[in-house]
Amino acid sequence: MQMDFHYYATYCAAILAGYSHEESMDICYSAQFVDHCSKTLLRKAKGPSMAATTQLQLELMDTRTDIVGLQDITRIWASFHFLPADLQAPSEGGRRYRSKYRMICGPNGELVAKTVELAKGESLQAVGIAMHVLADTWAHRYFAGTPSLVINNTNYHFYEILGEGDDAETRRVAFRHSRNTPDDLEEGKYTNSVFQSSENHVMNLGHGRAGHLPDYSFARYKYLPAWGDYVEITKDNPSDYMHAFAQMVYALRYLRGDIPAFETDTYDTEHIAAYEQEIRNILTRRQLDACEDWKALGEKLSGQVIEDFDLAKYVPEYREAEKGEERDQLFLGKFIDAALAQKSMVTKSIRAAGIKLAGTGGDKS
Amino acid sequence: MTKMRRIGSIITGLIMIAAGFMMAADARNVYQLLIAILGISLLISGIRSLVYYVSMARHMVGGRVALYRAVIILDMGMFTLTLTDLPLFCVVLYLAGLHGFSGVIDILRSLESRRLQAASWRLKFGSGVVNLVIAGICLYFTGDVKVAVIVYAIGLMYSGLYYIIRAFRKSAIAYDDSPAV
Repeated sequence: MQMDFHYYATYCAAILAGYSHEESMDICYSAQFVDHCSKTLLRKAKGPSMAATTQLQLELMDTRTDIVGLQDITRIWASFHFLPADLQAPSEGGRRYRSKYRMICGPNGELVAKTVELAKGESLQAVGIAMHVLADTWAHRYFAGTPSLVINNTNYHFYEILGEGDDAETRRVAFRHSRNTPDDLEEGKYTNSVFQSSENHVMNLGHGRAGHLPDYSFARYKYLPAWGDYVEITKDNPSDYMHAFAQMVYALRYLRGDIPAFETDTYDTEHIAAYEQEIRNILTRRQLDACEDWKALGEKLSGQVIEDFDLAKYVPEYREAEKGEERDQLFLGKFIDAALAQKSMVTKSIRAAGIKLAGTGGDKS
Repeated sequence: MTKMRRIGSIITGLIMIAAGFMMAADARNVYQLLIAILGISLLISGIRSLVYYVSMARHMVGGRVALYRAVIILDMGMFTLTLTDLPLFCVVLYLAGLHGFSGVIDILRSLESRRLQAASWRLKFGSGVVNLVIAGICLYFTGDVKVAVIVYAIGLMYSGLYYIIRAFRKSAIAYDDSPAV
């Protein structure tokens, strides 16, 4: 997912769930910040590098792919972007294959419930992080947050579905490896990562082999996932993103205390009913970036101006603050605390399932 | 490319350059050692690929390619090890063939990279062409083993240099997940 959903759509969901404009801004800022809180940024902010929630391209390029490096990658990407759907999922193969298979991301798993529950009663930053993780379980489903050729690879059998119903037609996706060329929606040309035959190569992390298609809310496509035993999967992003939005509203209402318990596979359709068609229109519009549309909806919902995302907004105050309690009470301090808690929870859950891919680190302490 | 891969690439390059020098200096005494090293390396690589296929890739769509690769590498390793008793002339012929084969593979890969608009295709294409040319020259001079050995040694050193250059190049991750996840 991109800034359009993690920042602006999360703001809309928070407003619909009953949060104030100021609270919604903190929630959506935190949700978006998950995509920026790298070790490099934390070093600049003089924060703990183990709280990183993402890795920059340069960091990934230099990451070791020995067991320690792989565990570091997995802790970050599985905890915040590719939450495993079922750590006990039955699968063929030996222990090594099973471990990777069980890391496949998907919605409505036990871990997403734990993620939302972890944020209950905590800071708005924790709420924002939980919303990022929850939303990504829909966008990134079928891919794993650990480098793996046998799980994350895709092949030439990859078709975009254009139109709906009887008028729907398919067009083979032309992948290319040109980083500097934007995806061409008209021609159906998308950038993806280069094929690497090495199992643990960083190019085989997440949905790189499917390019940014999982990140576009309008995209509908069918393909053969590497793990799927030659069974074609159809990914309907407009539907998945709608579910993600409705589940975010439901989760946010739980976190506000309006609902006593969070249950998976439950969606708040009531509070979004009045705007459903508008949301559907945004989700299905073929565009690289839906920020403007979501921003307009958000401002209509709250009657307030949504300020643009400013990455450096909370960094200077944290860098200049004294270490200790004062720092922990700052915006970034609370974000770091929540990120460490999320990482620790996911890492421990993965380890408890007998999977060593995330290691044993990630403790809050 | 990660730091470890860069270091690995530099070490491989240095070994290849050293092997090239040794081959050029004293081919008759060195070639058996080089053949043994090459054969054992291929054998280890083949076994590793086979283990990977059995434990992982057999469950993957298109994973059978890993099996084919493993069998070919393993076969080449075993074949290479049987060459230690052959005269230098035959060994140079075989090594030149291997060089040419890897040149063809490099060219094919570079053409595919070009089609996919990857930036790295030129270096690979150049390396493939040079490898192919060196193999051709080697085959042309099969009548004069000394010249063929020197040409092959130059090819080996060139390949080593390529590995080292590759290690220092900026390696772009074509798909960057971090700012748009």
